[in-house]
Amino acid sequence: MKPISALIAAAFLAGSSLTAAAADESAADYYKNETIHLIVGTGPGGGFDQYARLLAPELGKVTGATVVVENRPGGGGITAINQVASAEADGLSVMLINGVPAALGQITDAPAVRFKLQDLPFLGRVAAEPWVLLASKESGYTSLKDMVAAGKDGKTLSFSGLGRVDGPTDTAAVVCESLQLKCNLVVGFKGSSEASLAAIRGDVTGMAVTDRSARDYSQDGSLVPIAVIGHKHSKLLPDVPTIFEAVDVPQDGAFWIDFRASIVDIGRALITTPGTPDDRIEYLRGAFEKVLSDPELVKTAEDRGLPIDYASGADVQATVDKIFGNLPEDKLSEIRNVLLSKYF
Amino acid sequence: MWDALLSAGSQTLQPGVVWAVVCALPVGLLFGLLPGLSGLTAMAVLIPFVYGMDGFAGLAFLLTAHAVVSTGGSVTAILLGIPGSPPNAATVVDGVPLRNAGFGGTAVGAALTASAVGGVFGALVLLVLLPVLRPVILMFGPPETFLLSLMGLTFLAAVGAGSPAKGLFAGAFGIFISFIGYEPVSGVPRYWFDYDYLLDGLRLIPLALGLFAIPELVALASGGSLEQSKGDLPGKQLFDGCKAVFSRMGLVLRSSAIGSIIGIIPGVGGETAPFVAYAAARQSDKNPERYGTGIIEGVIAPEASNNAKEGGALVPTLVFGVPGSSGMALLLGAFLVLGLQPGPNFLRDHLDIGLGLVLILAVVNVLAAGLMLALTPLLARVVNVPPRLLVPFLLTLALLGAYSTENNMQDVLFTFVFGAVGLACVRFGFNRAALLLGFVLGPAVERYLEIALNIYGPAFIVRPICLILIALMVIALAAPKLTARLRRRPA
Repeated sequence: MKPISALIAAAFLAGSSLTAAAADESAADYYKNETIHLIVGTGPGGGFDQYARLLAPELGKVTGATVVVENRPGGGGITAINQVASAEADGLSVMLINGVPAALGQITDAPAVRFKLQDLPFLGRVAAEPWVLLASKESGYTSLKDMVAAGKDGKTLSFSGLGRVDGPTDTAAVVCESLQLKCNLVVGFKGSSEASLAAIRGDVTGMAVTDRSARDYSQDGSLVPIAVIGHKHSKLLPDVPTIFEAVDVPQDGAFWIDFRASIVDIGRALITTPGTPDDRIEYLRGAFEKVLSDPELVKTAEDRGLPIDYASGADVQATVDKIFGNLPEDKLSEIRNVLLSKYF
Repeated sequence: MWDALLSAGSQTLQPGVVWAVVCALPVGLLFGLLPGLSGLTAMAVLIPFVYGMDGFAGLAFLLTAHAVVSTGGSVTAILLGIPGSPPNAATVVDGVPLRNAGFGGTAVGAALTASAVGGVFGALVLLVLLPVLRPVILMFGPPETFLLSLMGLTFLAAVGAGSPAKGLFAGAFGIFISFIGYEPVSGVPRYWFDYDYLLDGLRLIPLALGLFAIPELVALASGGSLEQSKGDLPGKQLFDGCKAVFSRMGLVLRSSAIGSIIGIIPGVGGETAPFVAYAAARQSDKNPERYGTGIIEGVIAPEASNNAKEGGALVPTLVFGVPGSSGMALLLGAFLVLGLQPGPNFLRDHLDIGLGLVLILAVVNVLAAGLMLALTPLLARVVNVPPRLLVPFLLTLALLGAYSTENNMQDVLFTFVFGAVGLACVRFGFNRAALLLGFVLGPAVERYLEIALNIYGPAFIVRPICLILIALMVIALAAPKLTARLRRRPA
């Protein structure tokens, strides 16, 4: 074993002197002929994979690096974030993360989370989809106002979801909390489409999904979009009111909606390893800005059903800092209570 | 409908579509033949190729590759004793004893013919159900899915040979290891020992490969060689196999129907179809004890059902955009790539595409079986390869398959762990198929019971379909005893 560990040590030494030398060169020179690993936390074929495979060649063109897409499924994307967060800080591991489960996983202390989003360097945001509340046609409700009125009469509303903090369920939970409704969240469905089937069947009052899914599910009226859970309208469903337009949100209730909307703002974001030299982070941010604001790429993406909603790395970083920067411990435990236990 | 059918027919015969099918067919069969590479992997590998294809040709391309995987896998299951893809695991139970008795060719012939008939049956079911699909699927909610999964579990003791007690024990062990990872409803992690990999639970492909491939490879490596077909020429045996299928049409149709139904219901998981079909065949047979000793019915039932289930699985995918199997989930992704949105309005707007997919499904199942039948005499020569060459090659392939599903070395590690479990099962006579069935169905039972209780309370049990399912379960459990008693009485 001795000679091997000596070899490894030597390799490390050589490696670290190389990185030291690299820091002297400009970041642009560094990336030429390097290999960037663009990591996604899901298997091939899904939305994240498709985004990554769309961006990889373009990033390669802009940086001169070879960009390889790597699928590392597991733990709802959390495992791969852990790996990138603890990788070598050379700026060659870049990951497209799903902001909602990552942020909520961190807030709720999910068992596998071993990163702090506020410590990760953000390189930009590829897309962010607003969340929309749908009512089942079978439930008889056609607006959020009806639902709130029924809730005030003591009726229990139910919403279907997957896990507790991966999108549909937590959106429903913050709506219930902000409007002070009596709710039962039915979780455990295998995918959001299966959860939607429960809503179509009338097993539950409704469910929350991204605006894209909301548009698809509401095609034939078996599910009715009743409110966007945020301040801005959805581009895909321009006629659907925001929750603030649909009903009077109590003053202290607005916190919950704003909190959820700011998490949505992280969106499908690009991160790299903490400790990466600043010049490389800046360089990658610039490169992604170039790629994601290229009108040709935006068009190709839209044609493939992958809408682009770019935000700069600095902006996403600011959003993350805002979410995690001023959360006092008692608010944090209140959030955990609402998301994890109150409505189950 | 007829107009749409005609237009679907003419679409299917377009050169682009024919070309797509011709390209995808061998790829799908190859993924089936190679252990560990599943339909899911085939689809994931092929998806990038559909960019830029014409919409329908792209779908035909993916569907073809996916639909024929289990046809290819049946040959590996019988000749090598290693399921080519997880749904072929049930075929091993009777396929291997048949091969050892020198009837490998007959078993392959029967498996391929049953696959073709099952595939066509599945396509027909899809065709017939297309207009009335919505209500059919809506009838099966969480309570019904729970009871269907439970029904699958009642077959545990009936899968394969050996003592029912040991079958139950193996099944219980399968259920137990399915508990590892996040609990499906509460999200509480169980038995994960601070080891991230376990949070998602154990994976199906390493489990299936470990249980079936490793013991077979160990046996080969430790001096055993594959039994040679003796007596009849392979060609004659293959033909006998085909004949055997057509003289048991009742069994074939019933198994296909089981496959279709399980495919249609989104929650149950297509992997269970062949096991349930096998167990149902055994339960309804006059001499259930023959099963597992190498009888042709034990090959026909699972193979008919696993090709039929793909037709069934297309149903919820097209009508609700809710995939009926993991492969269909990827197909759904491809629909979106091609700018088509499956869902409530899909069949209204694109009935010709829906019908075209039905046609493709029927045609490729027959083509795949034909191609495999033609190739089998060649493939059967694999048994002449000396083990010292064959074992390393197959082991590499199997581990590559385990690795490629998630690009994760830990899957390879667990293939060996389950390999040890598989060896122990073989040594002590525990039923590996029951273990696998328990593993697949355990989480479904747990998940849908909790959801059903949450929505309806305990009263879900008196929903009409639930009552029917309970009655069926009781009959299935009691039937062997009852028929035995009835037979004894006149004597």
